[in-house]
Amino acid sequence: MTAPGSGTAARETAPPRPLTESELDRLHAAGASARFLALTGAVALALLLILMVDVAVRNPDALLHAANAQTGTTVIAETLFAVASLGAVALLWSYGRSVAAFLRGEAALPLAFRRMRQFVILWTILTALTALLDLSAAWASF
Amino acid sequence: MATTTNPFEPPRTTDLDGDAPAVKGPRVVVPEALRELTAAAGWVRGLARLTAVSIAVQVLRFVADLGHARGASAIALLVLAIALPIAISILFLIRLNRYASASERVWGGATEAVGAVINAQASYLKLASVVVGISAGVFTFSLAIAIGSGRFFTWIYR
Repeated sequence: MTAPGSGTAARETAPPRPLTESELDRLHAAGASARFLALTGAVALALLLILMVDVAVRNPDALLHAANAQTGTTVIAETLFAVASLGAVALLWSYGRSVAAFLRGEAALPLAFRRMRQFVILWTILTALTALLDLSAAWASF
Repeated sequence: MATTTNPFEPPRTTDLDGDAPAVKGPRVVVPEALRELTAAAGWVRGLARLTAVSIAVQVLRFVADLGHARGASAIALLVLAIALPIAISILFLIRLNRYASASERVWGGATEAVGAVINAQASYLKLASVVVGISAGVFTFSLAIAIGSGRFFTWIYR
């Protein structure tokens, strides 16, 4: 097993490593999936926004009634999820585009991996908050 | 260095490459990309652990709600609303653990593990695409039925 941190020098001095054909194929698949997720997420969020604006204009009382029908933790969780999804859509789209640019021959792999790191950070924070809300809901159920 | 018959020929740029392996285009993993992967290692492990905690909490909630459920339809609704997401979360957790292990290997200096990281990223995103694709399909199908039967959001637009 490698000692923690001992790989820093090895990474810094390592020559650029060419990716194999199978690794390039997997990277292509990752980029395509990321773009699909970003597009689907953007359409879903846009539809949700249109629906909410439409209901708010036509029948604002119904919107308040629908919000009151849910528990506070559910409303907070849904709001957090919507905000995080917006960020995730942007990050995944950027990741997919960077991967495509890299496969075309541009030096965009660091940007793609940076976007994936930011996506993971965002999702970690969301998961932590959701777990806390779930825990409070489970506590209330007992 | 390449040898020619002309002793006054200037050196070629390829002579500066030394013994570096031939690389096809710039499709290589540069140190900056490795730094990004290693910087993400801790976060990926954290996300995997939090996902495991989240699954445990959801299981607790499922058990608690199951105690309050009355009738077969209520239990079926609980299974659909909580047990199914738990099963999907477990699939994500398996992929996240692979991603975290591969990232930690890169962090430890094993640059050959970059392929495993890419594989884990692709696997995670593929699963997310399948889940989102099925959800979008079910949503579109139910929306079409609701619109077709004239019951689309009548509770809102009354």
